[in-house]
Amino acid sequence: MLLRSSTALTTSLAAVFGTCVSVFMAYPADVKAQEADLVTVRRQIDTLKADYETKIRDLEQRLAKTESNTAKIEAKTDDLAKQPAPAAASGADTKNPNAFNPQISAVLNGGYTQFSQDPANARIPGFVSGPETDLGERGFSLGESELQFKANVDQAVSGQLTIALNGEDEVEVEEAFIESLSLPLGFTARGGRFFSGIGYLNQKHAHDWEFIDAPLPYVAFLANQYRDDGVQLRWLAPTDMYLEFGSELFRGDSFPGANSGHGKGAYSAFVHFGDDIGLSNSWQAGLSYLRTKARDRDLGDSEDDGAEVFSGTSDLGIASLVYKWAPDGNPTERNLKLSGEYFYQRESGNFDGTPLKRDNDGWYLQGVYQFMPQWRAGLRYDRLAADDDLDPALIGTALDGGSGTPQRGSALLEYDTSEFGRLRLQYSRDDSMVGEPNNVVRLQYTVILGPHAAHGF
Amino acid sequence: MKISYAKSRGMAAIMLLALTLLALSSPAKADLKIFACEPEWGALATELGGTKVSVFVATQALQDPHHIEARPSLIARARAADMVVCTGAELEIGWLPAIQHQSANIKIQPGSPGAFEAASFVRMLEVPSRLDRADGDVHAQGNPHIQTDPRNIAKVADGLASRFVLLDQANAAFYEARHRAFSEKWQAALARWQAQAAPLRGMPIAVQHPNWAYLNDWLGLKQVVSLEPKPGVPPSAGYLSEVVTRVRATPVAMVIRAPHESARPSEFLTAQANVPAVLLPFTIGGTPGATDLVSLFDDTLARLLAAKK
Repeated sequence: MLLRSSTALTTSLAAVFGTCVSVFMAYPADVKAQEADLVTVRRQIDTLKADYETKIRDLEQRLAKTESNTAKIEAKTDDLAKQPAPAAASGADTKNPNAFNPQISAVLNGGYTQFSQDPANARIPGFVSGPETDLGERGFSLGESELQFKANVDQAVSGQLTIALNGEDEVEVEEAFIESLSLPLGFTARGGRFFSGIGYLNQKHAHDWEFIDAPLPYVAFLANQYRDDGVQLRWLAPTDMYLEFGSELFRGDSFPGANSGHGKGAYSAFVHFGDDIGLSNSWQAGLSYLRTKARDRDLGDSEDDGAEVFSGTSDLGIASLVYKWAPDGNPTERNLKLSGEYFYQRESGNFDGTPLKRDNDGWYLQGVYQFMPQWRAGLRYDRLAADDDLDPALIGTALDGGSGTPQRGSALLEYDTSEFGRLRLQYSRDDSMVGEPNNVVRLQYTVILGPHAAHGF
Repeated sequence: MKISYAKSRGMAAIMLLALTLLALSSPAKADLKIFACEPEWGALATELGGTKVSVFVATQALQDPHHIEARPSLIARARAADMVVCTGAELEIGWLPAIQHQSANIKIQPGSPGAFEAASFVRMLEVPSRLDRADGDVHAQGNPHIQTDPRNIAKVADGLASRFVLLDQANAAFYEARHRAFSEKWQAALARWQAQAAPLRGMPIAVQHPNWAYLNDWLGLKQVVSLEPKPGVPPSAGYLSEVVTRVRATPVAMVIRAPHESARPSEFLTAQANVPAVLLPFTIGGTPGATDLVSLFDDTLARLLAAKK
């Protein structure tokens, strides 16, 4: 545009110049005619002048416009330069086909255990023991190793798989579930196999527990932890105080349920709530309910002899409270964690054909104190009470608790090499089993390889 | 049949309760709700957002931002947030993902516009060439303590202002005007700090934890030794005596630490090698003088200059 305009200008100027030259050359011939000519020429010059003045004004405007456009582009370029290149910001090598691999981590643990009484004969009087609730073996043994895979499937769903390999080389799918990522209004849905959200410890993996073994009520009422195949819906209320509701529907084959038949024999409901008190204190409480149904549930690990069989329902209520203290909310140097849960269970149905209705309960209270970085010490007390009002026909069966109260006291010393490595020494005086009290010493290491999910409360 | 009836009744009751609480909860307010992970980003959000944002700050200066409990109160606040403003670069990896996940809030999930990571707007220092936990608490994307260099604050401000505009276009002109005002104020302060800090250039220092890479880069301080053998690994008595030997051989002007760190290792160095221990605010609220972004750096410089004399 600019170039074409300047060519037009040159042409106009040449025309003016040419006219002037011809005027001077023609002057001597005829003055009158010349004067008339001069008027004409002047008029022509005026016209030309007006013409190129318009053109120059036009050009000036165009030039100004171009200059302001250039400034705008420069400003935009500056803005772009300030922002990091997308590839550099994400830090990921986008050409790497493994970039979409799930997060993989492994948990290893093992140790040494000493029992004063033979652990093979251990049995809690008055309670039917569920599967995998034995005390473990004497001496050195490898604990359960865990392998976890975790990733977002797409914009709507995430998935997680946890495989447990026990010391006897058995492989088990511990958890395998999908979970919603983008439900509105604070809802989260989950489906597959997972640890139930009831209680406080239940949904934590064993390696996240403060003590090496599960508290007695978890052992007696849930065979350590309640886990089954099913669905879960949670809802977080839009309140300043933490308030979460959840409900689950399960297949119902896990202890204390068994052979539920329809494949949807258990359900639960829970509420968790919590808040801070000042800078240094925080707490979380929970109320949970689990109903399971059993049909011909045999004794945990004994052979299938058709004896001591239970059919009926179990209603379990759990009240949980967790309190944490850290000076100014900074747990790095020192911190304290207190937790306790109370379990109440009603079983109704029949045991070996005898009608059964009984109420059992149990609780634990524990505290763990980090007295300096890397070092923690803890104490725990847990106990159970089976209903002592037993039908005479059932005396002598597993439900006969005798006169004693199953109880246990434990002390813990822990040294952490880092967030990813932990050594624990735990002593328990276990008076929860049939026979003499068992003095148990456990030494255990737990390490995490690879990325580890952020810890919940 | 009886069970499934009770079941659906239980589910229905929960849904009804949920919907009632939902109806009772306050209606959406017009302002942008910010969940700031650290005080400096809370202050920056207030500078740029003014009355159009409401800011909740999740941590305070006496807490170590690496180690925060994913407390119920934080989950409840994250549930209501339109945006999380955090350092990123794995600083909050031990707690923020749990909060984001449990908040069930789509707006603040990683990768969404409502998840703002300050570290992605600055040039990272100390990016490790190898990743091995045997090297201590290393961060794959580099040292995450970017807020100790005020030039980084300016860069993050540019990013945060554009993000506010993106999330709340109705108030774009408001955010842009506040951003311009902040930038002018900040450039003037930077020039002043640069002049004040001239005597500090080249000064050898010891640090308690490698928190200060960006401060060193800005002021030209020379970090001679760290009181942690590896980042995040507490010093043993043996390592501390090694540090004393090194400090005697290569004298340092001072040992600096952040308020959330224990005073003991610094005090040990003071007692053994007569090295002055200096507490720097590290973030807003870290010292009584550090009450906003400008006074954070005023106080930092004042403390460094006072200790140098």
